[in-house]
Amino acid sequence: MQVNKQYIITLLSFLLTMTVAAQDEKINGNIALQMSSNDSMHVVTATVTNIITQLPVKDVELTFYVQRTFGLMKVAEGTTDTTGIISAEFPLDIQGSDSTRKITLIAKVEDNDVMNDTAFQVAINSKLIFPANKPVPRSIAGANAPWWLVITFTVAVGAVWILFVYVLYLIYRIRKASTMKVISKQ
Amino acid sequence: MEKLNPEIKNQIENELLGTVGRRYRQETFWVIFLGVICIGGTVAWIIQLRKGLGVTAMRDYVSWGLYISLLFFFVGVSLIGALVSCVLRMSGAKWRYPLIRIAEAVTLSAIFFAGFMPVLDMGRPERLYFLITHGRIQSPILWDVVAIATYFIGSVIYFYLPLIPDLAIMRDKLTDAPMWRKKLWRWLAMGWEDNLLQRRLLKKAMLILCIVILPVAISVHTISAWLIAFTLRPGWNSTIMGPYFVFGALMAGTAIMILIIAKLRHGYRLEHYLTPKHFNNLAKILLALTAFYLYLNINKYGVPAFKMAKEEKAVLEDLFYGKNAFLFWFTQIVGLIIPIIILSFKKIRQSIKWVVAASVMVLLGALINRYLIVVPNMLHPFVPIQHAQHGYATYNPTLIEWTITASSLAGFVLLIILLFKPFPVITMWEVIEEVEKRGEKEIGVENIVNFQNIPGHAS
Repeated sequence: MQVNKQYIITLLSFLLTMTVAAQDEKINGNIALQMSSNDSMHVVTATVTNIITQLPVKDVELTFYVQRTFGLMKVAEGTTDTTGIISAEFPLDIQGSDSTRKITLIAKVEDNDVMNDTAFQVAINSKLIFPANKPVPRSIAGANAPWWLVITFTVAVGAVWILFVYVLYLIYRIRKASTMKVISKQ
Repeated sequence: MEKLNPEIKNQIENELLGTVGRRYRQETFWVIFLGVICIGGTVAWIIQLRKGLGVTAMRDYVSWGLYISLLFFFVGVSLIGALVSCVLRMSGAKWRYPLIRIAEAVTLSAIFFAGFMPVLDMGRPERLYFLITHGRIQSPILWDVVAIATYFIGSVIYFYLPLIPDLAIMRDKLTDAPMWRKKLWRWLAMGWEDNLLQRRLLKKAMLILCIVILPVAISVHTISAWLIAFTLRPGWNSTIMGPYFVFGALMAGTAIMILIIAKLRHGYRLEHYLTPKHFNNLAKILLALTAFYLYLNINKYGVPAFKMAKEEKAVLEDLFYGKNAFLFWFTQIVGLIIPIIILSFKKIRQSIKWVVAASVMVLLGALINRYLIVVPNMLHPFVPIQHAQHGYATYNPTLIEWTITASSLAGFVLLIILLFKPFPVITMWEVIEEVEKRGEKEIGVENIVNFQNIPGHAS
């Protein structure tokens, strides 16, 4: 009985050590991204492999994002199978990020038990025509003020400042109207 | 009215020039006291700049706290210059002459600190530059900055214009002053020799500025009101805000004017220039403004209280019987109703002490009212802020905020004191001119043409 108890403690210690060691030894992975499409969706296929052994890594959670102007838009997520592969789809009608029509897809591993955080990206061209940059009409809430406001503001403030300048001119004339310098010269 | 005897005129000038550079009673104590508070506030501001606005109690809900409340107070007080220099001028009130420079000094100091308050409220004041380079013309904040700057420049010019003939008197009479002062007076006096053309030009300049400065002053107060009225929040979402601010400003400005002339009258011994008539007349104005402001308050709070709309309910309950109830009822009762009662009696109005007491109450009420306009409304938005941390829905100003606020108020008073160091408190040439034209009684001065009655402390 005493022997069994010692055996169990030793076994538990070994398992704990192995678990800690396993936690410390996350692998670095490589993500190969391949883009294709069907009638209505982009299809992305990601193959996750160990960067050293080149063997596929299973149970890795991947999140797919598309780069937008001010951040990343999440489009899909999933977990790799035993062959280290995951496929995901996202709509074809996603616009490119600018007039070059480029769509940048980013696959990220975040807070994974098996693999360290990593991100890989691939760029494809969208078939959609990038919308022309239509000028936003002037408005109170828009970037540019309506003309009536610009004119009112400028005229009101300008008129006051012109009158200030005129008053300063009158002060200058007060100085000019002085004969004091002449007297002092005499 | 005949021209004043040159000797009497000389005596008046000497007497009023006697205030230049003279320390009045307890002045040293007050200058040191206020100066120490200002130094404390500067240290607090440096701490705030180094550590960021996190040292204040301003968070997601209350992003405008004491600083912006004080901005509205200073903006309000600054209207007194326009009241005395323009409104009273247009209404033909001759008794205004001894008050003009004091009112302009109060305006100048108030608008200077009003311009400073938004800078204090900014975590990164250097970004004020971007308001000029990238400012949106649709934003009332831009209008406010432009209006305050314009009013400040206008007030500086208005302070200077009536000073020109007085500077000439100083140039000619104070010959034993230090050389740098004499040079400064000579330069600022613009070669004034009181000829007809110079008088005509000066009066024209003053008339133009008087007409221009009034709409500018009203626009400053209205735009400050729009800062909050254009924001969709309970309590602020009201069309009454513009006139509410303008009349509140006139009321606070008149109250502070009474207090300052009382202090100067006593301190500089100007009893026969700042007479009970001035206090009585200002008290009448204060009575009218306080009564009208009470009427506006009834509209501002009474109308929504009658409806008790869901969105307004929380703010109104907070004010009527909630956390801010004491302050709210203090402003209504002590700040408005009691002063109205006091000032309604002619006999009480003729007592300077009672007028001063009523002004203190009005001013205190006006100061607290600015806080009540800003803070409780920010604590009760239409849509609660999502994921706000615990404690963000309350506002208890920190020591840093109190120190900076106190130092701004101290700086405001200190600047007024300092403005009267190099210049006479009373506009000499206008008082003399008007006494010559209309006599003492209409100007409100007493016994100044009676040579024997002038207590001599001329330089």
